Amino acid sequence: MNNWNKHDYIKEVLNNIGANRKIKKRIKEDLNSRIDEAIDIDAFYDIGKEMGEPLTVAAEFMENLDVDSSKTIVQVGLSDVKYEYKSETTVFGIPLVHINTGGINLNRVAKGIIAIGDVSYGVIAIGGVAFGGIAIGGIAYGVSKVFGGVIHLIF
Amino acid sequence: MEKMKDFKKQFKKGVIELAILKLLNEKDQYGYSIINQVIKRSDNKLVLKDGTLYPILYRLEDAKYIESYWFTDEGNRSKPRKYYKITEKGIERYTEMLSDYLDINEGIRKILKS
Repeated sequence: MNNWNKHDYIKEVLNNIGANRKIKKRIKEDLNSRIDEAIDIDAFYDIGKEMGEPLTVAAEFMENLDVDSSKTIVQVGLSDVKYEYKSETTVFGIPLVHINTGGINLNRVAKGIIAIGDVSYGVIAIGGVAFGGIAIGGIAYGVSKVFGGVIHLIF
Repeated sequence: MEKMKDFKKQFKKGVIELAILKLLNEKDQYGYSIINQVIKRSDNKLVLKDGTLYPILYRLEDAKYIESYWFTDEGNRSKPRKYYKITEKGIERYTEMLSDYLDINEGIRKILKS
């Protein structure tokens, strides 16, 4: 089990909740406050262990929220397989490689020199929606080369 | 076994809202304290998780039965807490729900004893 920090834990929960921004903002506020409270009482509070893993917590929210997650208007993600990798090597602070796929609405974002994700931004970007120098995707915006279902070449 | 768990789950959902309004009718509370109060005062019979509590609070708040506010208890901690308080409309709702619950509970009790 991960030793989650508050920020990453909440982010992971929210990434797996299919709800609008307003609802997610409320959830973020409440989880922030809730975890702060627990940490105040116990500085070694293990968020994952005490509250449950983010996927489990997100599933519980989805079961109880009045949202219809089947009403996704557009899905252009790369893959519904949840996977993230970020290289330790960076270039001017940007990961050399960032892979991020499998969001609940296929909306995980990858940002890197080489970016592969549901939505990707990079010098080389591959994704459901890709923005980059060289972009490959269902919807691709590129500077020098694009390959995609819907393409937009700048210059 | 799964169907038994489903029954308990569905039944619990209905009464948790009543329990939350009861607690807020006593005093304003924040999320973590509501969770702990439900567990403690039910002798651990009701375990309330965040993914159950907060959607209920949002529904109650959207229906104007409760409202939220931020409060900093400067004596004890520097970070503000989000408190929930019951409204006049919420008190009416709680009274109605309590009456309905007691009626149903009495009816079921009689059937089970007969």
